[in-house]
Amino acid sequence: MTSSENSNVILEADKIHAWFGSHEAVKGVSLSAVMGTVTALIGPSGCGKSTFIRTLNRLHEEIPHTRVEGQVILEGKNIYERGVDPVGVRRKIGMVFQKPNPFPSMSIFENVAAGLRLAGISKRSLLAEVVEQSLKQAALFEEVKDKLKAPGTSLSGGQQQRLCIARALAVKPPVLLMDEPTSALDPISTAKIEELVMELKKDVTVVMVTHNMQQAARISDKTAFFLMGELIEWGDTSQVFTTPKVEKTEQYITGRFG
Amino acid sequence: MRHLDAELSQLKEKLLAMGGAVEKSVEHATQALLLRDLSRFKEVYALEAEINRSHVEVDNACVNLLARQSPMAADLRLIIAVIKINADLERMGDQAVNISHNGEYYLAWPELKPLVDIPIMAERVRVMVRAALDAFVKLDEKQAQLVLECDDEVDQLKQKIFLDLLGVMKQSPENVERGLNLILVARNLERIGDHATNIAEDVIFALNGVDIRHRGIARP
Repeated sequence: MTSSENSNVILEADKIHAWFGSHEAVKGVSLSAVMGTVTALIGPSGCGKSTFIRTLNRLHEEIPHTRVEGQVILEGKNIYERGVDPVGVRRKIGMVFQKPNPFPSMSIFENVAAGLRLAGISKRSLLAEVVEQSLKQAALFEEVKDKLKAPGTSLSGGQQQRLCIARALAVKPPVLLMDEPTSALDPISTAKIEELVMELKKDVTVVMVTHNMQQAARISDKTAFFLMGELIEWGDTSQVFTTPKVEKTEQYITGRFG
Repeated sequence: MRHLDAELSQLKEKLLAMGGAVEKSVEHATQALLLRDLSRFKEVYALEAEINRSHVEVDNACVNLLARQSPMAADLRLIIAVIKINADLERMGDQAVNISHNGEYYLAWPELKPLVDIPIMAERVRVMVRAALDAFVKLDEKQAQLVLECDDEVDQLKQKIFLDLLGVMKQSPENVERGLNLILVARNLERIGDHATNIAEDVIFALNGVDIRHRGIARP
């Protein structure tokens, strides 16, 4: 990492270990994300990348019999410090999941406004402003502006996923985590989300798990390769995909295993 | 607009800037010789450094695009064409340097004979280089064809210059070195024309996927 990158680190995971019961799924991973970049986490199924990303906003601990060790520093503060409210953490580190999950009983508008309402904002004009802005940011506004009262679930899969992105953006998180956000989508919707991610990084730092190596290559600035719970290689995406430093990475990205 | 389009257009701009430097370099080299203006050779050497830098940059950009974007069809053909054109441009830059070396040597002596065909050849080659770059910018098949048509004429001019100078050299051993330098310049110009032809062929490939090299030998 260059010195200018170092000074712009917004999120830093330091020696993260994560367990499911006695199984250690993540084994001492340290990784940081530079402001305004997209970091892709790649690796074969079961390598720990999804578990790792869920430690970055304290979601892992929501599963019974799990444990996390290590630190995650967001804007200089450890989110695992005693007394830190995990809900507050998740407001700052948003998340988008593999399967679009709009709140089924809510309209498009209310889906996006939900996070703001939880934060205590109720002024209609402010809500409307932020909802519109978030939908625009998620490149969905033009498609839904005439049916904001329709249920979120009435949209197509790709639109639902962009709705979820708008919902995450509404509370203006500095970091957005994405766990295979396009794996349930068709190629056109996938391309739209990819373009969107490249636009979004101006405003929000993205860390994304993807099974699709080409996707990582196309849209990320940094790529981290995970294998059996360990971080094997982490560097500039162009370097990782043209001249990987570790033999295992080379074997994985050239399809020799995984 | 696709993200790839922005990257491709940056790549084209980079290659075009390099093409502009090559065009200038060839122009300086030939004009230095024809106007007996030694200062212009320095420009050629300065431009060569710039061209070499661009050569590496364009290649790196292509490797990255291939690795990261998995380009297909027209996008893939364009990147392949850029890789090849990049190599041709770099070699053209080298030929301008060769003209400068040969020219500097030639100009250190009194004139061997008034230059008649070399200026004509230089002008033809200049037109070819310009048309090849235009064809690339506009992805214009007509311009590319124009380049291909000029190539035979340039080859013939080189042959004529070669024979004329052979005659002059036979008159006196004192003429041999200068004659040889001019023959080499004609040869350098002819090579530049060949590279321009390659570029035109690559443009046609990028445009419609047809490989017309070596007069369109049937391919599997």
